[in-house]
Amino acid sequence: MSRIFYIKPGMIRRAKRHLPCCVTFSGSFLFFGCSILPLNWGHTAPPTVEAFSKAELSLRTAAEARADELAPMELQRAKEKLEQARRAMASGKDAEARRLAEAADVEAELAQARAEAEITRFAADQLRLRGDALRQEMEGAARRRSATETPKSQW
Amino acid sequence: MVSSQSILQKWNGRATLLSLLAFLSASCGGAVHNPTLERARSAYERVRRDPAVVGRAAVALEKTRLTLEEAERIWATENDATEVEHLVYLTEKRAEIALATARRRIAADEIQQLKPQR
Repeated sequence: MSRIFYIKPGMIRRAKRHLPCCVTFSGSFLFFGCSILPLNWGHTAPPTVEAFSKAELSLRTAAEARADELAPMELQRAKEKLEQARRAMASGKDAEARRLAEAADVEAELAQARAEAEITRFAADQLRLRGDALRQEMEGAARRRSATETPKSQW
Repeated sequence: MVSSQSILQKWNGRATLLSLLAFLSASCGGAVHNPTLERARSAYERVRRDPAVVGRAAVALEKTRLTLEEAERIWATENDATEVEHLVYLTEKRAEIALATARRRIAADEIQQLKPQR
């Protein structure tokens, strides 16, 4: 036992000297820790900030999907809503800013969806037209071949 | 005979009054009607009944349903007309997204069908 808990008399004196510092430090840590905790409880970012980042990302994605030429009205609306959200945020209207940012996000998503639908529709139409042209060409070639072969058989 | 008739008439009048009161209390005690919510419901129903959307844009349809449910919940619990109006707007836009997604998927399916013919 004496080997395990080997304590010199000087060690106890040193510990007593550091005790007030330890108590002050841990007390302040607990106080500030507990007062800060409820502010971030269950949230990684405030809802308005999250709505802004989502809207900005959706706008960039829509622009990449060529929404500026294929769904210009929706993209314009999204940009306007985001601008209004920024103004509302600057004037301290947080709830309004959040709603406008969410509206901008959904408008940008719609712009992207419409642009992608247009691109895919265009590709499908082009493929069908090319297929039709190829089929007509093949039918024409077959008709010409049969027309040239028929007289030979008659002779 | 006369007395029994008068008693019957009296009770009849009371019954009518009671039923009228019951009807009034039932109509006033229920949830307050919100016409903007009806707009969101009809937008959701329109896309939900579209077989192309159900088969090809299930995720977008689910997002529309969740937004509508949120609007209904906010109206039922908080009666916040501004927030409900905003959520109704989001529901309508999400329904449009579902339609656009379905259109894109239909075109993509056409491409898949046309490819082997080439």
